[in-house]
Amino acid sequence: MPNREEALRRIFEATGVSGRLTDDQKKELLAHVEDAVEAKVGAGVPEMDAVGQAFEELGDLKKIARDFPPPASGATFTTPDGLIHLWWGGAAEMGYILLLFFAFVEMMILPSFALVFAKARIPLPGLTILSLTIADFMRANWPLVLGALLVLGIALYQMRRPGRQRRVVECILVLSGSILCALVLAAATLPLISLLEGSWRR
Amino acid sequence: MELRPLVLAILESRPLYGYEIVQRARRRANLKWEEGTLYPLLHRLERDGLLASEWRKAPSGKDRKYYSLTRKGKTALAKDRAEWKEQVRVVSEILLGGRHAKPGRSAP
Repeated sequence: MPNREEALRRIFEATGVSGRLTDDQKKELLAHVEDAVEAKVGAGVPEMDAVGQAFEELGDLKKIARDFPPPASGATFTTPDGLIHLWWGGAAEMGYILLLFFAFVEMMILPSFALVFAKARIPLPGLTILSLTIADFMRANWPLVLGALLVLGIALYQMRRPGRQRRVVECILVLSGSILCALVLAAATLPLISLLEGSWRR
Repeated sequence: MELRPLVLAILESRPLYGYEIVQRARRRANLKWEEGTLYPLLHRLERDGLLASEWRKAPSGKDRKYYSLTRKGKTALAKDRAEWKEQVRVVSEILLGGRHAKPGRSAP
C-alpha cells in the first residue's frame, strides 16, 4: 500500500495538470496538500475527507497551472506535455540560434558559391539570386547586422533573467528585430522587383 | 483584494514556505482564499526579484521551498505600505470627514 505522499502524488497526476507544471511547481503544490492533509488529520478529520478538503481548498488546479509565469530556461519537465511547454519557453532562443546560423551562411558560405555561379555563367533561379543579393547586402553592411544581432542576443538574455525591466527589454527586442527584418526585406525586395520587371519585358 | 502586499508583509519577519504563508494569513486576518493561487503569485514575485527562494528542510524533516524578501521586495513593501496609508487617509477623509472623526459625525 502506498504511503500518503505517494498516494497524493498519484491523485495529483490523475488531475491531468501536472504535465503543465515544472517539477519544482509540482513538488511545491504537493507539499502544500501534504501539509494541509497532515494538519487536518491531526485535528481529527478522517484521512479521505482530509485529502478531499485539502484539494478543494487548493482551488482550481487548471487555473493555477495557467497562472504560473512562463518557466525560465533550464526548468525541468517530466511529461511530453511539459516538454512542449518547455519548447515554447525556449522558442525565442531557438529562433535566435537559427538567425545566427542564417547570418553565418549568408555572410560566410554563400559568397563562395556566388563566384562558382559567376564562372559557370548559367541562369540562376529567382530564389538563388535572392539569397545571393541578401548575402551581398549583409556583407556590405556587416557592422549593422552584427550590432543588431548582438543587441538582440543581449536583450534575449536579459529577458530570461528575473527582475529585469521587461518593457525596456521588449522595446529593445522589437527595435533591433524590426531593423534586422527591414534590412533583410529591403535587400530581398529590390532584386525581386527587378527580376519581375525583367521577365515582363521578355 | 491585492495579495502582493499581504504576502510581502507576511514574509517580512522571516522566510516561510507556502503553507505557512497561508496559515499566517488565516491566523492574522481570517483571510480565506483559493490557497493554490498563492503559488503563481510567489513565482511571479520571485521572477520580478522581490522574493528569493530555496528548498530546505522544514522542522518536520521534509523539504519545503522557503521564500524570503529581497532588498527590492522590502522597498516594494515600503512603497505598498505608503500607498495603502494614503488610500486609507483619502477614504477616511471622504467617508468619515477626517481621520479622527467622531462616531455620528457625517461627511461634509
